[in-house]
Amino acid sequence: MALLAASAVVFLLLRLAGDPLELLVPPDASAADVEAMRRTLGLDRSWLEQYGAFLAAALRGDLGTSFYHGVPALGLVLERLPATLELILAAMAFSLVVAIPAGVVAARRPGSLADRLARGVSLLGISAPPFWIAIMLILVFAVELRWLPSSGRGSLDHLVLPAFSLALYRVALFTRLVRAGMVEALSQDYVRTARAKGVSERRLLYRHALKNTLIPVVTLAGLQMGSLFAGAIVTERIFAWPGMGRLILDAITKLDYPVVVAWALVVAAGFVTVNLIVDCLYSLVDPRVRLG
Amino acid sequence: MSRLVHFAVSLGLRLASITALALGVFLKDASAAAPVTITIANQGDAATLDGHMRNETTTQMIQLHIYDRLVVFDADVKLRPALATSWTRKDPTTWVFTLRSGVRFHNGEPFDAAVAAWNLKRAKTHPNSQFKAYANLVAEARAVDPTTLELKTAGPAPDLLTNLVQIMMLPPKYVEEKGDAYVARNPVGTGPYRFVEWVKDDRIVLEANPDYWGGKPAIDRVIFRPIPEDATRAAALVTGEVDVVWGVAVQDVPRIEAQPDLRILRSPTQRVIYLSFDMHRKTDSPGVGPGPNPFADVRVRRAIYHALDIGGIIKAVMGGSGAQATQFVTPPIFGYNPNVKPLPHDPARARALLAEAGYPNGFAARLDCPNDRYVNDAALCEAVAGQLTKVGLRITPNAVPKAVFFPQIDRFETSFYLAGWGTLDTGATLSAVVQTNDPAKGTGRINRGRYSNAEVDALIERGRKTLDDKEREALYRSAVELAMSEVAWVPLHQQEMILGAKKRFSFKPRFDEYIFAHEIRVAN
Repeated sequence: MALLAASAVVFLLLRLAGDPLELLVPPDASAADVEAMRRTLGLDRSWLEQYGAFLAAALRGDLGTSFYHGVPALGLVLERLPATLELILAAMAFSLVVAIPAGVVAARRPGSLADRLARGVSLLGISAPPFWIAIMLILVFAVELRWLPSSGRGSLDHLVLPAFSLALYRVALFTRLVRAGMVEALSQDYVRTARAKGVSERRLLYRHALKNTLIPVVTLAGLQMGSLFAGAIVTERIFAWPGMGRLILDAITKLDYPVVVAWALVVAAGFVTVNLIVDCLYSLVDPRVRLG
Repeated sequence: MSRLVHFAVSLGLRLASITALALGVFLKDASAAAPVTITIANQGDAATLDGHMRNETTTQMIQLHIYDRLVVFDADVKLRPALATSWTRKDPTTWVFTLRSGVRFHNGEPFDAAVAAWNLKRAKTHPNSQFKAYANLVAEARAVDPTTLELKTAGPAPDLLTNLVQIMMLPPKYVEEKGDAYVARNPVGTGPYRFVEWVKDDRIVLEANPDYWGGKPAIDRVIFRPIPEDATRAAALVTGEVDVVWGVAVQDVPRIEAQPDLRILRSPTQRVIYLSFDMHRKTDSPGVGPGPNPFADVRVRRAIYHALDIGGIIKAVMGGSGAQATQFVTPPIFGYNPNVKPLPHDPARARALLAEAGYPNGFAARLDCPNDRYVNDAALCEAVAGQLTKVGLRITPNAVPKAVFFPQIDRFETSFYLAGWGTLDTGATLSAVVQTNDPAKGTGRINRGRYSNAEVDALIERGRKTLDDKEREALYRSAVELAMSEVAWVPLHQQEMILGAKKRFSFKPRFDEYIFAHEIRVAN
């Protein structure tokens, strides 16, 4: 159902965006050639007919042929999916690994140096434009220090800069969320009781308080997966990362409808899957949640 | 819970070790290989590696390492023999080409006249071919013997050779056996490089063809990398990840010039950025509104030409990149008219002409421009509108994506617009851009202002059928002069191509904007 709605919205919006023919035929093509191409691509029919034909084919697993590349659109998207998944999973892992300890440390003594540092850095992460951050990372770590390559995909060192640049905003977001949750949890009665009972500070922080903070973190992580797909578009372009994001950006500027629709469907399917996983994770983190 | 913490900790350790590993890998010295490899960074990836399917600079640049053509252009757009070694004209419509003998495709399939004829037919008739406009000139292609190809044209066709430059030679047996989809990803040609590998959007790898008829190229391996972002592409050159970059943005030039081992190469290109007008409607032009159409008056068009400080625009908007253009075509191209000069920047004269035309207080109009097609196009739009306010015109710049802009101006829904046009053949350009718009005859397809002058039309039509070079050039030059005297265009500038390269690789930048690895010399 979600997929059907997504396909209809994308299909319609794209047709309002302009005429792809102008961008598909060389400027010196004759009017007859342009019309022939329009018929070949099925663009001479009404929108409703086009959508109907699309749906009928989609049910058979055929999302159409890319106008620009001349090969099946779904294949173009899927062959770039691993690169994008690699990027966004690395970014998500990195942001959680950094943000959870940072949030805990910051919440332990509100107002301390560690707290102010965590809040300051996360403010930067949230407010700096991702585009600017990415270019700065290239200039500092690739051009000046020569530690890492500026672009492309290959060995693991190629992954570091794009994943970090994509993660930065999420690091900031999760740090703030964990800190707020921990500050609240640490003022609760059960924490005081545990402390009175003589539970070690470490166990108190990570075992008692953090556990109660994780539910919103898991929720947000699930939602952020969607925004990571979107964020990857900019990151992939800047770092020349061969993922779906770059494909879709090209496809949008070239009005390559089938590719855009295929991308939207793959992302929508991915988002649905992630939310399913998130629902499962709830029960892992919070035993009160049971999967019906 | 502890499971989660354990997971987090182990992941953290993994990431740390990955980073350390990554640094280690990167810091290792990578300069041990003996064969010469060159990495060329373009803006985009190839759309396909089938030589007949996509008429686009990057795609063709890559394909032309793999495929040959019958005739080619050198760096200065002069015709040179390639798979055809010589040609003669038997009569005004029959051309005979002598082909190179003993040439084989990378898979061993022989190249001969029948193969050439097959390719001309495929480029002309394949439903997805983007080279129909060029191949259409050939009415009939016949292999007389393996090294003799006879081409018949419908009428006298002086631009046959420049059209043949666009047609690549593919191996017929291979294409028919494997099918189009396979060929698009596994190209086989007769060219200086053989296809090795294509990782979509990441790299295309080619290796030198030891049996190339022109001799094995000096560079053994070519890697094409698509890096869409200008700043990243320049950074990759500075860090040494790539050796040559196509398309350096003006703001990145100083950073590259500051490196002792790098250099910047500049070359004029065929593309002219220009303004044109609705010269067809007498009243109610869409970008002006009800009432008379001021742009139909040649005095208004002249006033606009005088009002613009084009040198100033090139300096301010283009960062000094590009030369002022004077007409539809650019200097090295056959048919360029050196006598046509730009109107000087003269606001007083502009005001006087406007007053003479009946607009002493100016008028309001919309200037339509693309914002994602030419270098700094939206900024050019603003600059032109800004300068015109100084002579009392109230011009609203309207910069929109190309996907909206081109269909709009193709429907003539504009009074005043900015666009660009590149020319390798003056006849084809004049016919498309200046000749009267007539869909039935196929002329004036790009003449979106619908300029129309019977005398200009006659000159162009005669020129396109005149085989004698001197005579044809005179006809084209007259047509250019006449149309420019009526300000069919206000030419702004000729776009410049800026390349960045390591100094150890030397080559002459090409007017047609290609970079060919087989033309690059290597110093050690």
